[in-house]
Amino acid sequence: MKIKITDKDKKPRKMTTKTSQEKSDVVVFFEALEKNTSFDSREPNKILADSGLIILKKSNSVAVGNVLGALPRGKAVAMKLDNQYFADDFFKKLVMANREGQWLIVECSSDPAPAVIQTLKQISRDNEFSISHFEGKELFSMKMNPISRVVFLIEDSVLEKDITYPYFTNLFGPVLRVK
Amino acid sequence: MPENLRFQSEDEIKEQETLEHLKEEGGIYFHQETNPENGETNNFVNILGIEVETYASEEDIESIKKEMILSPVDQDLLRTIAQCYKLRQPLLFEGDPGAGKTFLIEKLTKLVHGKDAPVLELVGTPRTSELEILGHWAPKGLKEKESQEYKEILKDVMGKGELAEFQKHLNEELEKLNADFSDGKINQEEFQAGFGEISQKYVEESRKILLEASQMAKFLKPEAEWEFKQGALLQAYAGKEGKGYPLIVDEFNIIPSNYQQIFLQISGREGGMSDAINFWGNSGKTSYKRGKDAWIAFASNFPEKTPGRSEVVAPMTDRLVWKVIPTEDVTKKKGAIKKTAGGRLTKRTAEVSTFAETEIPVENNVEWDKVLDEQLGEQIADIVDLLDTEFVKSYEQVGDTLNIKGEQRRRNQSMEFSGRNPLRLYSYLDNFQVRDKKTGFVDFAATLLNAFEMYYVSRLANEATRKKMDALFHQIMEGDTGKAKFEGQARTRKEILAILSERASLTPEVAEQMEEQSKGAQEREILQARHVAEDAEEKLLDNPNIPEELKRMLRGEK
Repeated sequence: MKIKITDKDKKPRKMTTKTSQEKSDVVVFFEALEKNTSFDSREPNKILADSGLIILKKSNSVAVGNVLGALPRGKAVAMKLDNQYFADDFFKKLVMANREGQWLIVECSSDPAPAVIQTLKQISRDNEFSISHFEGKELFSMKMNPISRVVFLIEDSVLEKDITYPYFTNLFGPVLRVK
Repeated sequence: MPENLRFQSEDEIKEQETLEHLKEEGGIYFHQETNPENGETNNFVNILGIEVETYASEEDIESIKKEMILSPVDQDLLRTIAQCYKLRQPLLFEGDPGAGKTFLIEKLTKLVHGKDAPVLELVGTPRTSELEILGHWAPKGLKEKESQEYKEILKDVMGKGELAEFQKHLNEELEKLNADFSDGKINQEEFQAGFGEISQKYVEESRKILLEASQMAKFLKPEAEWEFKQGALLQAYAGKEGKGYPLIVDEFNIIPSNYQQIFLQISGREGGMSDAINFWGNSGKTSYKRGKDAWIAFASNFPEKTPGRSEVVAPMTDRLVWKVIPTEDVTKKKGAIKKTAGGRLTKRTAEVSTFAETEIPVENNVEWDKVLDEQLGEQIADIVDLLDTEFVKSYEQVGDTLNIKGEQRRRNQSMEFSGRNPLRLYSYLDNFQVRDKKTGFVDFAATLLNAFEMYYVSRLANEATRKKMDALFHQIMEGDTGKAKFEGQARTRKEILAILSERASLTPEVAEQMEEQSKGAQEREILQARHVAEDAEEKLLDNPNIPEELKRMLRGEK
């Protein structure tokens, strides 16, 4: 499969799928995300792995299960992001997944804490992130594992109504809208 | 030796070598210097002519250089960042996404602190608050189950409970304090003391509320196992064992205005950073002294192009060195970089990132405010006052516009000027004087122009207004309106500065030598005139047409 290059300054590509093809499109999306890389034109030799965003019309266990089922067992860890004030969970899971070379699937049902937005932005820009006061360090820093990815699952209505950061979708490379 | 030729001084030769080195190295190079007093070796990185001490290794610097394509626009921006870092003046870049704001600030951080050094960053969101900026209380080392429990408590107290109520109250107090400060009802010291009091209330009360809520929920983490986690601002000032960090505040304009104003505390003497942040109530610590590595750079999108209302609050604008990255420059830069096919076309890549020759600051600065019995300082202060007054007057009358989709619209982002820019400009003059290549003396007019561009003109988005301000500078320095009486003669400011710079640059020995030379030249001129007169006389005496009576008179005979 040809590797697609995304321009960081452009809005992410939208991929709309039909209901009957839901699972297969998710598989294609994950395959693309695995191989899809982008670069900053000012640093052409630095290849960046994108994070992915899946927008669900309605987030329920079936829909989420369908998405997660499209990934091989053990490839990913999943978590719920349902608290807009607490980010420690996200950091712990992200660091753990990154160390293990796993993907982190985040089922997001509330406006993420500013620290989460910050981490997503750093990952999208540099494929590395820093967290204050983490694992006993004043400033913890980590490079993304080249085989790890972060995928956010979010319900359409949460994206429209709850997310306050105006450039939220720009934090991701490929975006899949599942009807 | 012809009159227009002269020998270069040792300093000039050094500066020339630095320039050659920069050209060879693509504008950035690492070098070491040994301090003759203590024998210690220090590492430096020269960034486009600006010398900065670095923790990075030579390999780090080379690796960072290789990674990036540095267009002329980026070089200009990176040089500004290096200058502000060196002077520890807080900087804000305002521009479109992809303009290179955060990218270049981060690059400087890496050039100075090492390729793998962690970068302290605060990405602004509409929900960024004192929790991220100053800090918050939290239980230490939570296990999985404890984490879940604490999450629920937070949801409760933050979302609808007592802490939310307290935060609202705190916000009101903070807003009032900010308003009093902006209106000039209180001064910087009173503002900082007021802020200290509010912060004390914040720290103590938030601890109390969180502990009580935890006890109510039977979350049994003893008080001793709670800690105050310093936010980005306190970390920047006093983290890393007191050395501090460079802090990048991205998307600053999205942070709610009352929280933006927490950063008013960073404002210090001479338009630079404050020596400490007043933050009371955390284990008795009341002041977070600024460490030697502390510095803050902000990035902001144009609020006119950002969803919602999101200007940077006016009092902050005066506290920062503000540089608009014009959209036209970004478009040009992106176009040139695109044509390198992602850096694959080596010739084009080399063309785009060729070192754009720049002025190298002089090796030894003239103490402009002390020499010549302060005569040079007085001239400079008068000029700066004139420039500042005229710029502010013009800005208040005309304002600024921004090109949005091909249309010039009046800017929502307003600027405040309350006298910090001249102070910054003086610090600039202490550090970045440039030389007049013709005379070899410091060119104060050119140095002032560079500083005026950096602190004043760069604040403007409209190209025509920027040009108008440049014209204003030249009018004041070289035009008739700026002329002043100097030693009984009307001269332009540029001429006056050149005369004074020459006098100030001369050491007593050199001055004596030059006076000798000048005396000798005068004597030679007189001698030459005598010879010319004698030749003329001889010619007249040899001329048969001249009456003998006249010849006798010429010979001095009666």
